[in-house]
Amino acid sequence: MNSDSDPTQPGSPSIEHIEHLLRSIQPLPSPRLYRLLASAPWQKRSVLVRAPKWAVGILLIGCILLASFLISAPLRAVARTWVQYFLPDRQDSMQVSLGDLSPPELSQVASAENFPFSVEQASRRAGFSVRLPDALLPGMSLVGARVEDHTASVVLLFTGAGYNLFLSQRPLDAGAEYFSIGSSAVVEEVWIAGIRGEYVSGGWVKQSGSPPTQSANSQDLHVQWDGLLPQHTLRWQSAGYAFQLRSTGSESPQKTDLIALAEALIR
Amino acid sequence: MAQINRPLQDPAIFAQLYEQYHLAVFRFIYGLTGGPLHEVEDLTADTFLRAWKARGHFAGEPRAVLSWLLTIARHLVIDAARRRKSHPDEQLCAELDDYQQLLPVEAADSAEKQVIHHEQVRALLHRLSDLPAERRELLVLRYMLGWRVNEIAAHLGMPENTISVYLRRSLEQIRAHWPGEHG
Repeated sequence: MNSDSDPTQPGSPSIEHIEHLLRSIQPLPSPRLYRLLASAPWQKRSVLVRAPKWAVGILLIGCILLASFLISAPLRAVARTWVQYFLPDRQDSMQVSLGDLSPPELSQVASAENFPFSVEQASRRAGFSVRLPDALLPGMSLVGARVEDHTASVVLLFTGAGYNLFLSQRPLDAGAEYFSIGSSAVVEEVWIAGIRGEYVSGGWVKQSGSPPTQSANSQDLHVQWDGLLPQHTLRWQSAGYAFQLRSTGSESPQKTDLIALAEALIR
Repeated sequence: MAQINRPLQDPAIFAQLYEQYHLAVFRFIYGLTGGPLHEVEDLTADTFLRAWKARGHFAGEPRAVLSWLLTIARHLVIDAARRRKSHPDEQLCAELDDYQQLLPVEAADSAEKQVIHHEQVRALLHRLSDLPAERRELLVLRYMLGWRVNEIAAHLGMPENTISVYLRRSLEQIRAHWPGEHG
């Protein structure tokens, strides 16, 4: 994007600035559109329903843990759900079970001890060359890497002032994963150096006033999709790999910065 | 991106395509009409409902689905414009009212910068509405949807060079008619 003319000056802008203005027109629909189509014929059967329940449960738990720790510092986020597509749920609230979560999964928080490897070590362990952006955001630094053998993923943790940022990458042939979002979540189509990507803001949070309920084998949580949660996720696929950038925290980088990072990764 | 390997009759496949493309269709219609918001949303919903009814006639790959959807959307926009011709002022007022609430706010921008930007976009929307519909569509595809020239050429069945020339001329026309200091 080029905006070489001074927008504060009167008169005709340059062609490049007009192009910039045109690109900046990215309106979003209101919730009314989603209400209009909530009962459309193709909505009667959610794709999420077709996914194995244990897979959906585990992935949801990852999102919930990530969101649950957002208000504490350092942010103890869980970046467990590295998936290829966002899958909207049929509603904005649900009940999930923590019973299937293993201790290692519960320990995947955004602290240095959980990201013990260098990028080179992670590449060797994962069996593919882990990519790094050739430029980072101001004040952003790499903490370390983690290898998730069961999903063939490598997750890099970066940190900056007021946010953590997780970059995950995994071979597409390692199988599909799912990323559940609320029915009101807006999936935005974005372009990253000519590659299509998807961007979503928000996350699942524990519903206030509904404490976890204990049963014999599981712990259930009522969760609610919060579109204003300071959590931003960008996903795309390139050269046989699935990538995800997720920022969390009050100062978390948003769409423009995430796309810039993704482009720095693709270059 | 995965290829479509099942007919569109499958609601799950159609739902996936809806999720994937509804924003592009919404923005395409917004770019062509300039609002009002409720009409853009109605037309977006109508596009998918009409596509659902006609899904049995479609065979192709993902990019072709979007092209097909945009063709449906374009026809609906043309029909709506014909119906609305007797109330052009009503449309313009709605357009200006809607725009502020449609734009995502960039937190990093100052309030002054945002105001200037919104004013410039508002002026641009006016200039867009002066262009012939075909030229407006080219600009929307190229800039709002981010299509490449060769993709637009394939979609519209026109030579790439012609697309490039039309884009350039349209931009120059917008620039030539840009409002002055008091515009």
